[in-house]
Amino acid sequence: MTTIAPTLKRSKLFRWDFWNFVTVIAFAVVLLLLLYPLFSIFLNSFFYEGQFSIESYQDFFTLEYYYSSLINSLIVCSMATVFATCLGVPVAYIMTRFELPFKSVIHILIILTLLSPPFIGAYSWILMLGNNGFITNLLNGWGLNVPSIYGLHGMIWVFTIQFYPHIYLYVSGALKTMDSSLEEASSSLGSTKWRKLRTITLPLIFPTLSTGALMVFMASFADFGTPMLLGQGTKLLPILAYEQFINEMGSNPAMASTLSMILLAVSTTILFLQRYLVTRKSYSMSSMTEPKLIKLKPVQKFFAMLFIGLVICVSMIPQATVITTSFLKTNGPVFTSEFSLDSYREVIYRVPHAILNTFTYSSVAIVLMVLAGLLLSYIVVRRNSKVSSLLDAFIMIPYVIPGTVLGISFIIAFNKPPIEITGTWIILVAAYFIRKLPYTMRSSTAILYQIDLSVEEASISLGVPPMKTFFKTTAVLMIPGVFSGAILSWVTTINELSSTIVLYAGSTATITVAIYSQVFTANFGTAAALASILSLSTIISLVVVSIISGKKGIPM
Amino acid sequence: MTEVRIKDVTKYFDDVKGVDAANISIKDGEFFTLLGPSGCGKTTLLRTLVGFHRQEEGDIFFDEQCINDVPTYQRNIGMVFQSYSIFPHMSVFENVAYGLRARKVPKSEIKSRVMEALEMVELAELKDRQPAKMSGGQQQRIALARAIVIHPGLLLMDEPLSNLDAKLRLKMRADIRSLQKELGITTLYVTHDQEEALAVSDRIAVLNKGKIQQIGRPHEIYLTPKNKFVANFIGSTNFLDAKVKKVDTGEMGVEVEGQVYHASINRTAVGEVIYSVRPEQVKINRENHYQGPFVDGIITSASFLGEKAEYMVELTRTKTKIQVHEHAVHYNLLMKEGDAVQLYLNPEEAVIFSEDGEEALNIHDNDRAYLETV
Repeated sequence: MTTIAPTLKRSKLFRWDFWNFVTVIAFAVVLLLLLYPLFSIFLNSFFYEGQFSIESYQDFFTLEYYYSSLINSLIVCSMATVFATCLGVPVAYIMTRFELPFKSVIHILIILTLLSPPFIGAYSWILMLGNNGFITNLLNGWGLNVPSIYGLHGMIWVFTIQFYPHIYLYVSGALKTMDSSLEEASSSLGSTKWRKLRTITLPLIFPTLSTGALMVFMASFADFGTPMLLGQGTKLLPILAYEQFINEMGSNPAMASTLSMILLAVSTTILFLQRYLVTRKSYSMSSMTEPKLIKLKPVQKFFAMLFIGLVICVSMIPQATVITTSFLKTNGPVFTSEFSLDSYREVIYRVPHAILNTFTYSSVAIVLMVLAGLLLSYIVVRRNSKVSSLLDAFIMIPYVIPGTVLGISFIIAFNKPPIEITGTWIILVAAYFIRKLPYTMRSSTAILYQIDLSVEEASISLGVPPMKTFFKTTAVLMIPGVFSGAILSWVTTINELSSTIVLYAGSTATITVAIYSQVFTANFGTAAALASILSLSTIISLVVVSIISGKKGIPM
Repeated sequence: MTEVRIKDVTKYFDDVKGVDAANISIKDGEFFTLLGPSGCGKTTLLRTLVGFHRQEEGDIFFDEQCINDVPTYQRNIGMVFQSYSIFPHMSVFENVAYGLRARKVPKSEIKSRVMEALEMVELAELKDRQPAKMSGGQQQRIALARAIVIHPGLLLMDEPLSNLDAKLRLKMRADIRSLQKELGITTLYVTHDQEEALAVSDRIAVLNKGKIQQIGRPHEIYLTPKNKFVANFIGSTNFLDAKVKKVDTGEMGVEVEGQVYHASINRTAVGEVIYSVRPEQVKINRENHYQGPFVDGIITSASFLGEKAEYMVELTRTKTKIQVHEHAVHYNLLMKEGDAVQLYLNPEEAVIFSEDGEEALNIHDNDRAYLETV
């Protein structure tokens, strides 16, 4: 092809088609639900009682009350990340490299752990190891004095148990795609097993491992329920931001905004730090020879199963506790050993609207997410341009925004004209939509990359207009991929607490908010019943989708 | 059926011309092929015709109608893709019926037309199968049925055989050819495979770097290439440095390897030229079968391929190596490495190009014969 100077005769063809229309709408939504709130909160952090000031930032860095919360957060999250790694890597290694029974069941249980909301875990650990927990009481009865679950160590424990599946999923993925001939080459060069692990396997999975670690850190850092329940005076950053914002003693929106900005700054920094580490150490691996499963000797097998079994048991205990206690009769805040359905009766009597709210809001949000996932991923993948990659980048921002921050920013942005939706259900749906869309987007774009463009071209050439073609061909083919992400969006939406707690008004309370307030008013029975309903919904959703998606296991 | 006229069509990609001022007329019912190496613009031109690209300059006509602004879905074309592009979520029947449903054809007619098309491609009994797991050859047959069932004015095929294995490719190309003739659909076929192009086409346009190099019937393109690129791309050939020694009326003396050959002249030229002679046009002189002049050489390698023998000959004077093919040679005449040979570089068949390779300077007897017929 010859290069020539552009001629005047050439016309740039810009056709005002459907996809341009969708792009404009998408940018409008991003502007409204993401950039405007973030900008509002940023601005707000510099205004104290109507005056420009950087006092809040000064206060944060000088007053121990404020900065200690950041230190606490960093301690808890780093420790949780380290422990989750120590737990997740061996589990992943054992699961991918050795021949063991019940693997698919174990896999599903691990994913279930991840998808149940952390504050329910925290709550059930209180039931067990709290000041009046049954294990605490049991051990006290034997004269043993156990430390209570409250405090930083309790949060680290809950986060570790809750989030190690992130590490497991990422690392086992990497181990599965790793070319085993590399390890064999190492052995043939005379490496011992340990040396092989240290010099070949671990360095090769490092990039993926660090992504998993990032997920653990971010999830712990943004979590609201666990530190709220287990804090008892020790405050983490999201809690402090929330309290500064919603305080009966007179709230301090400037400080709340400042704390939010700090939260955002930290999570963004961590994200870029991880990206920086990974880009320099990333190897593209293609699994030429899939690793063979190693047969273990009976004794080895026993210990491997014991380890996995123990991990699974500990991580399933919270679920089991919650469900069991939900069927116990309560006497004030104390569970008796008598079976009863009182707690469920109480739920229906006291907070029926919470259940209804959770499912209606989440349903509306998920419909919007599926639609947006279908259309926006098409723009990002098929209309590859600077505009579409900018859109992609914007849509992924909510990954790093802690729910509390998003909640506060929404209130600041939408409690005054032109848009006044604070306290309505719309604000909740909007928050869910923008926060959980990345999951649906990710899986939608992933599947779209696998669909040949010429399928659409074939349809168009056969006389079906482009728009109709999209819905008749590509959209249909995308459904499984969109759903696998949408299920994550759905499950995390029904379990959402950290932004809901900021955004709800009395009539728009959801199940998670209800659990939270029931725990705080010591109605442990109702809380347990609500938590069981939530857990069951999560499990049912996962099962339904795994059946629909053709028994390919739970999509992750 | 449709007559297609492509008039001065230019398609840019940024500032690069993907197709450069293409002019083609395809006759009603003709099997027309765009042939060229990858990146030559043949697929770009095809996609411009389909309407997936819009040309920046020039016009495209289907019969008398200019279709520049007609969207793809209204152009009434059938297209067969390299990657089959079968709808994986529909049965074989539904795939073929797709275009008819879009045209709101009555149900009973859909059924009969789909079955008729499936029978043409020998897939009638598989109509209820899911195509995803069918073989490449079967999928391409579905694609073909899907394209012809709508009775398109123009059938477009973009390297339809390149994903099939060699044997299937031969069968499919014969099937495509006979189906096209049977239905009489105007067809535009794109390929990079010159043998395929020669085998199926009524006419071929050879493209390079976005420009049409030559349009002609298969034998014209093979025997009288218009420039060095076409000569080299279609079949294989030997290029020898040569010099025009003298020019007479209608004839020139060309010196190759120290020998002067006389060739009929098309355009007057003097100085350096390129003497292009195909391996089978070089004759080995045994027992003074030819009159000469002859060029001396030594055989450096010899292979016997059944229907022909292939030799590599090093010419004594300039040490240039050329290929020589001999067909149906008696086995006791086969040459071996180290044999000295006399070669006759037949000027009646050779093509003489200008030094830059852009132009053929001589004229052939078969050109004359062709020119007399038209």
